[in-house]
Amino acid sequence: MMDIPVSIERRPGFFSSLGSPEALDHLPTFLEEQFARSGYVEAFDQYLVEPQGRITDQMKKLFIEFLEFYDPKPVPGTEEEHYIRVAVNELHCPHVTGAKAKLTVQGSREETINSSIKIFGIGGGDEFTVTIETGETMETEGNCVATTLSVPATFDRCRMNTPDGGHIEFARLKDINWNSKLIKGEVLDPDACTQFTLNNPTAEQVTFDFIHVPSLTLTPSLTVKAGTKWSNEATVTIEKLGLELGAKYESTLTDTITYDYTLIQGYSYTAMRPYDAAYWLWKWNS
Amino acid sequence: MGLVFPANPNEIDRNKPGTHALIAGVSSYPHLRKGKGSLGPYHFGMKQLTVSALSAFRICEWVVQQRDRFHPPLASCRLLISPSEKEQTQILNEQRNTLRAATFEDCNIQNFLKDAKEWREDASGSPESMALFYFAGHGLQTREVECALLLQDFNDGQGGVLRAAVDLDNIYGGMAPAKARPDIARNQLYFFDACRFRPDEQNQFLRMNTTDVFPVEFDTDKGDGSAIVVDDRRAPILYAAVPGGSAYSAWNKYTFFSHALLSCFKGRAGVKVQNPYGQTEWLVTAHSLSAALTFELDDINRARKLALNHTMNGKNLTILTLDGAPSADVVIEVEPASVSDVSNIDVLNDAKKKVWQLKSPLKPYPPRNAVPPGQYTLNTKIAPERYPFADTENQIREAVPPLSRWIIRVKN
Repeated sequence: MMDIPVSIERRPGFFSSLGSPEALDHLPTFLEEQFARSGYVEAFDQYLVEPQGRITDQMKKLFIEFLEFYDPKPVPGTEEEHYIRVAVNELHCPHVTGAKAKLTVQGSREETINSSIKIFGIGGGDEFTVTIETGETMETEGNCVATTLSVPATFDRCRMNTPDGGHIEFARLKDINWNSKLIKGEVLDPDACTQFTLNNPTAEQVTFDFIHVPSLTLTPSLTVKAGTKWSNEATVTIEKLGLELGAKYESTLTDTITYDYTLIQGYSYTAMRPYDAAYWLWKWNS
Repeated sequence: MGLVFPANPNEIDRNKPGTHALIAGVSSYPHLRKGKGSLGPYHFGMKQLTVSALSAFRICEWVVQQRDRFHPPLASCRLLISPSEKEQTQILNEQRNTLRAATFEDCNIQNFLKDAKEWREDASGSPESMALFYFAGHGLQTREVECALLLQDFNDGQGGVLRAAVDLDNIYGGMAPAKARPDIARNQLYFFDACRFRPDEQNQFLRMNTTDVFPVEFDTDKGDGSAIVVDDRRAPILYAAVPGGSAYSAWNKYTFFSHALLSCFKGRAGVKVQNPYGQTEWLVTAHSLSAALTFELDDINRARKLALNHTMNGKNLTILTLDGAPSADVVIEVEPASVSDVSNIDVLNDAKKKVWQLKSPLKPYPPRNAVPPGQYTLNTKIAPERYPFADTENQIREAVPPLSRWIIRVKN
């Protein structure tokens, strides 16, 4: 476990912007989330509209109608604290004895900024961008590991009417703890290396055929360039509501990462990087 | 360049009649709110869009797929799009064989000027050609500009406020027949799928000039016997919004106008004609398209509580041939409506075969269904009996695309 500088930027979400025109910007995302959860697709569909100009009176009218009928609001005194566990770096390595992998961040600054992670507003909550400053290297041998950031977050319960006269309850990401952060390394389980298929047309792929080479080890390097973005989803269980939430987050690499590998002869290795990933996955056979 | 059809520009035969399309769509505006770049000074309250580029892509793919149906067949198609990240993924998923190998150019001012120039050159070889233009994205109206098309780099802080915007009138004027282009396509079709709202902020500027796409010639009569090339185009413009009004999209799905347009192209706008050989054909013309768009948009308005309202200027022209008869939507109403709960209706086709059976109570009311165009017989039975109403038989009605309203007057 280590403590690394983390800064957090907050942007108002649906509930925080109610009363201002910005709330209309958040309505479609909020509703899409709610109808995915509640199933009232047709009822909400009429509000999922965007003007090809700026927000119009027509949109404002729809919005007021929505608020008057559905009346979404947080329920006071229902806060719960949970961790949102997001992957900062993933380092995959062939599960072969003697195979090694090393991740190095090529920072041009003394204090390297490695990753910017955007946690999208959940349940109409605010959006948070977590920037992690790290100049770390990471090594592994024969297995796949990750650096994860556990973000302590406060959720509360919200309530909204439904077209049939009932109501739904849902969890909102209310806040995240600015002072407490936990970064740790852990072995990945499940491991994406055991789940991907080769020949993905949108992925980069490199094969190292070392079945019949004379030397004992080879040391190829792969990189992922700065600016690469990827998205993922962390699962959070809200016990009081009996809900499992998918906390969507998007990461952006602000520096290039170099991956150095030590591969053992007698195997053919294929490395693959999906276009929306900042890591290389491995398949191998003898 | 944004040429997506044919793959090789040398395959374009300008002198042979052909349809030449320029299709553009912008969703990602780096210098508007929530854009990837720095927010420029004149955003007029506009933000990123979710489906304009995707809608342009879908129109383009359909046009290329159905290329032989156009009058005349498609000879070239250019596509410029600035999609959001989400749209990029969706476009990748939706790319079928027609555009599989194509890469797409950004719809910025530089690319737009370049492709528009090439488009005009291609369309200038034969008067029997057709030029097709479609734009989806942000649009606005100023005192000087009827329809400004805002391109990807709009509001980047360089030059005037509308430097990265073009004026539809300028494009239309530049495509007019002139001494410099006597053989330009006389059939032209323009679609403007954007708002025409009038931002109040324009009052702070003496003038807001867009960038000219073409120099617009103005031929004059010299009195020396050399004739002016008159503007005898059939060149309708279809707008997704009325002057001062807004166009809308279904968030993350499609622009309503493009969705309605594709539905019309695919059959809703079909009109039956008999060719000189006595054969029946189903065509889509600019007028049938406009009429069908009214029905399509009205349907959306009813479902979404919107006020979509398109307009059309210009003469009629034939756009394409359908591969067969399109279906016609039929709405059946009973008069008086209070009898709908005891009305049972059988709809028979011209071979007297029952094709639609409606049992009482008629719910939802009025019932609606799609049927092949043609003549139908309606028999209505009142059951259980309700005095003073009686059964009616053999009422003849015609199903005509896109929508027919049949009213059955129940006897009493």
